[in-house]
Amino acid sequence: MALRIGSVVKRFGGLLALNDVSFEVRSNEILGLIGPNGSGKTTLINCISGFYRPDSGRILYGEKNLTRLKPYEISRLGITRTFQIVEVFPKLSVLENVMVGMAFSNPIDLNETRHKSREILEYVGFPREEGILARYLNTGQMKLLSVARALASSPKLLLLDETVAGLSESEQTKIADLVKKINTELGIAVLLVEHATKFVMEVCDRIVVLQEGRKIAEGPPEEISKDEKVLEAYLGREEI
Amino acid sequence: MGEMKKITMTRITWKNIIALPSLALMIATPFVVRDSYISHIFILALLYGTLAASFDFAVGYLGIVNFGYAAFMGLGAYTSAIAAVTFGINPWLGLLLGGAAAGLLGLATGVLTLRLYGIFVACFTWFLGMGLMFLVAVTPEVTRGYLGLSVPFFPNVWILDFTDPLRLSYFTIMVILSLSILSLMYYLGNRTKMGLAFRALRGSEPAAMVCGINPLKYRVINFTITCAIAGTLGSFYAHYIRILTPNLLQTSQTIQILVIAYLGGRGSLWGSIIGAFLIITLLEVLRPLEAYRFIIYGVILILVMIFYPGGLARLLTRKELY
Repeated sequence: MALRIGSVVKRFGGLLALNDVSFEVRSNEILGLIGPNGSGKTTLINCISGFYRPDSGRILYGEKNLTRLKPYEISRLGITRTFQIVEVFPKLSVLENVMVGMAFSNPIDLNETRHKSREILEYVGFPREEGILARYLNTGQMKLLSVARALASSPKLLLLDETVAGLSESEQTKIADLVKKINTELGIAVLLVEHATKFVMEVCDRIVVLQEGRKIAEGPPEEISKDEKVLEAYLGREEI
Repeated sequence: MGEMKKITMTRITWKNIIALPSLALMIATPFVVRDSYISHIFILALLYGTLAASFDFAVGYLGIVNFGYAAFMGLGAYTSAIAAVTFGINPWLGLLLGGAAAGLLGLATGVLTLRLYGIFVACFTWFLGMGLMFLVAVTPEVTRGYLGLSVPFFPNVWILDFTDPLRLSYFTIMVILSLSILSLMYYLGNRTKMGLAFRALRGSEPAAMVCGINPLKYRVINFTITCAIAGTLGSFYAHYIRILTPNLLQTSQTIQILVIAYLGGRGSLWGSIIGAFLIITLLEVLRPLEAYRFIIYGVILILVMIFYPGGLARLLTRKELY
């Protein structure tokens, strides 16, 4: 199912955070959302996932308008997200973190949840013991855990908010491989917000560029990297 | 990793070495000593310990501080007492009625207020508690107000004679109630999806919502359960102490429960029980200083928060429930 964002406007007081933004996330693609700081990327993710309500415009998932739904209702429709500042359940174990993602979107009992959550951890190649409390993980592991937890709720569309920010080169490569893998193997569409241009160019099928709340470009990575407006506004006239 | 496991095992062993004999000692003492006063202390300690554990079930999991907690207990007490005195309803059934009344009020309060957070819930429940207390005070034709309502004993069952001056039958029922309630809370918190939701909400509400958890739903469920427990225990209290006055619903009663919960250790069921034994005993020893009770509570709270924010329970184990 495609996600269609139509003329979304979001204001914070006098600030126009999103100014008439429209684009589509197709049902099986990896779409990158880039733009300078303050261009409205995270605001848009918050609108899609139900944390903000747009002042006007529509966000359609299939036939359903998401703009009036609560975050947990949107999650149950098959759209789930991660957070820019990583949110894990610190006093829950790694396995329990994934179980929370699994338990409330699948009608299964706790034992089955535990079993299937282990499979998810294995699938993402989680490097630590399942019993360790999430607060003892490093940032990279927490980010990987939040992706695993998002996967556990069997999404059809995954919103990743700056998942690789602050990670090492090798950790970035790992996440890049994982994102491609869940897209091709599990058929999950991905909308990812990212600052790391190299990561975006490598992973995404298409890219949307925001600047000061407006969409200024949309297209495949090769086109975006040559787009005059993007180079001028976002990259300051330098080659990517 | 191997090292981690070893530490965990040592902890569990330590806990068992202390916990199981303590439990046995706690249950056996009144039967061995056979002293009415000792039974009384043990009953009160178990009662307030269980109340504190259940109070902490709301604070610890969802950060809901119910400042009217004593009033919910009082509602259970008066419901069961009035049912018995006015309508001749069996006090054993009253135990359920008391729990149901407090649970229903908890449900209504929860639906009304739990969209709000922190201080708003604390204030609302506080006012509600005071409102209930005045309601009891100004309706003497039903509650006998400050004259005090006399409440009948529990009817005798099997070998349990509740008129026995040694109060061992009451102690037996208190142990059963206390252990069932603590086990119920442990089970709900650790073995159910509901518990997983409570603990997830405790960790991060945004992340919990993204996982499909409706925060309001689980806050209301938690609030209702803890209020129903208070009501059930209140109803037991009514038939044990056998004279009720509106003072039972006072905020100071809630404060006593709160102090026990914090001293015993947040997020620990048995910590609350230990805290209750200490506070109740301390109160008895310091009876001449009764008037300064709340100053003492204040000092205890401050000391605990400075030196042992985790409470007594954290001295024995580092595992937290929440």
